[in-house]
Amino acid sequence: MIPLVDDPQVEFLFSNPANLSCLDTAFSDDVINEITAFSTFLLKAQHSNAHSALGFWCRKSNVLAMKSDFKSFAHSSPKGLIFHITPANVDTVYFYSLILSILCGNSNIVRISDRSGDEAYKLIDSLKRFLSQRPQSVLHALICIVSYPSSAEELTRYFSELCDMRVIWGGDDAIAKINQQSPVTNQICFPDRFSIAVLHLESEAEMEDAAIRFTRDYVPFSQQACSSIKAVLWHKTSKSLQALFWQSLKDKVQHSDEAFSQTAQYNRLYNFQRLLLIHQFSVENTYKSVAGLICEAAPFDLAILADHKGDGLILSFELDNFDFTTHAKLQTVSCYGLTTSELEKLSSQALRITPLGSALTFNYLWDGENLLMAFSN
Amino acid sequence: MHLSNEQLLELPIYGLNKAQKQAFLASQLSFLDNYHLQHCALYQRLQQGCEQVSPLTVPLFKEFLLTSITAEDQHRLLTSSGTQGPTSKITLDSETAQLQSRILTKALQHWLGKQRLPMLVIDAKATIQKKAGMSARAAGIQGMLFFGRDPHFALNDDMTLNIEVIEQFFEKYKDTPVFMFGFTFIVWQQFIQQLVQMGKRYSFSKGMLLHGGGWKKMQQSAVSNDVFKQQIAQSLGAISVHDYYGMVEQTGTIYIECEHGHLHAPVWSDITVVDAATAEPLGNNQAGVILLNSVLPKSYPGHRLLTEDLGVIHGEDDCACGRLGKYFSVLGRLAKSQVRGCSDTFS
Repeated sequence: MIPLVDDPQVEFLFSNPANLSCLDTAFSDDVINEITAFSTFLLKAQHSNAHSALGFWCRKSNVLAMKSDFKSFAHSSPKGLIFHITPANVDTVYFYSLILSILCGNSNIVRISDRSGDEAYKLIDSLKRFLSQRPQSVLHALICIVSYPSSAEELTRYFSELCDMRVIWGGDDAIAKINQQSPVTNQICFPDRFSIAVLHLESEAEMEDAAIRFTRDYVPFSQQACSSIKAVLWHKTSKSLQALFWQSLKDKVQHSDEAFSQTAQYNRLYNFQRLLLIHQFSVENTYKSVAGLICEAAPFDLAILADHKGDGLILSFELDNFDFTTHAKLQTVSCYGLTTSELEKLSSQALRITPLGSALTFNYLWDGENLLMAFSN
Repeated sequence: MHLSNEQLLELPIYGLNKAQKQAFLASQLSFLDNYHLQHCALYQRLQQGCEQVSPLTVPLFKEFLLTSITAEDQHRLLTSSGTQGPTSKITLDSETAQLQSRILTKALQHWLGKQRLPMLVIDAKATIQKKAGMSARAAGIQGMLFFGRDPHFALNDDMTLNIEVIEQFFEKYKDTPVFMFGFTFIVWQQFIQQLVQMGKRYSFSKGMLLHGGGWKKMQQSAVSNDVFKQQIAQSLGAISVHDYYGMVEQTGTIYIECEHGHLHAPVWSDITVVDAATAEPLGNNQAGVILLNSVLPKSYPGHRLLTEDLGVIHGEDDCACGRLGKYFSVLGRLAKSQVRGCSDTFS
């Protein structure tokens, strides 16, 4: 029934497709209990910020809130078997997508990159430890995690054909390649995106508060998530407050436990030089520290950010008004100190507007897709 | 005062002390800063908004043709190893190419003497005969052939030991100085280890083994420089062993290991170990990213380069070998980044 299971290129990190079967209904009490128990397990373990963030996200109150939203969608039955192809750069995102699909009652095959970071593997260890205590858990029939090299086209084709629906997270190139290798009719793709912050500060107290929140949207995943802030647009904020903000950010990042690696520090400088050669913008000032390379630049142009590769590089621009030309790849705008009418203007230009500090908080509404609806009938 | 190429060639390779060398480098490098600002538009863009001159990160040369000469003046296009991914492209006019080659000759003559010595290449002849694209290894061997004579290739085309050739070479030259050259890991695995296995020992009376190409595989095999040297002494006799460090982006300035196990910067170039985030210099004995300055690159803006290598400077002007200038060790490469952004997710 599963002829390719023996393929030496596949590594089964958790379970096996043969063990999978989906549930009859979405948001069953069984599933909710198991997911919230896993949440408690992760929060107790306190392995890392990324694990705790996931645990916090799938806490009981949030799951119940999603259930109550779900009721209004007039969907109820699972799609069946879902194949998730997940990004290597945000190495815990696969679990968010997986949990939403599980809540909808689907069984799942998740392919993680063989270049995934430690966090990706640690999560699988946590899941194994959690389930080893719960032999009767409904989750056993819902999760299979595999890893194989992207060059193994036949495996992508095989898993795609086995499943009722496919989700591809990340890379435009990856999406194009997978669709060419193995076209399917039912899928959701999340292509490359970049995100920015618009800040309006008036006092030192605001500056401090904003710096704390900013760190949360900037440092995790080495600034490589699609929602990571890549540029700051300053609105009506004095130069002296801006300078204090950068100083404060430096202190906060230095003392955060998710600092940038030495390789990231080098790559950010390379990436900055690369941007200078690809795009025409002028540099007014640069500040370099462990916390990042901050470049005050002009004129403001979102197109530059499409080539920005994270690792702690912040482009800083002045923004006089909100009538800037938007860009198809602009995803999240993290906002601080803006008026309702300013927020309204921004929301017509980006896929998502969030208060500063919550850009990386996952939501079932992502890039304009309602994942709970997508994962059910 | 800015020196001409002829004057550069007359400088003593390890003979300027810190004050003399820094004064000389400052004037040559600031001349090159201005020269490249005027002749390379991309370089000009890279320097905007900076109070100090920024060194260029080496990977830039893979994606962009950074040049300070016109296409007509291009005499050669150097490329780095072609084994994986994109390669660096370095444009040379005849003046820079000639200067690089004369400086390299001067540097190697310091170690090998002016006589061209009989040469044992620790590699296969096939390595330099492959027609499709020259590898860095092949280019390295080709370059070194100029510094020896009567080359013998110690390995067969399948990289196994060619014991007859080695015996011939030993018979012919056991009493005269010889020059051996090869890539560190090949010397170790395909040559020395095989000799040990076969129980073969030679006792050359004099000579030098020059080897380079990095210690990554040696570290993986847990072979230290000391073990490497001890084994060579047992297998080959009185051969001095010298590692070297250098890169295609700064051809000509080569860093050779002295009798005390330290790499030395020649007079035409300088090493600084810097903090990765700020590119600010670190003190002696502090590990960081290697920044290389060289006074040779005039046809391309490669005079100040931030490499992807990690190193540590041990001191300046006071190595026990007596050579002046900074002496240092290379510690390896920066760890590969786990991920390279969103665009290559599926790999």
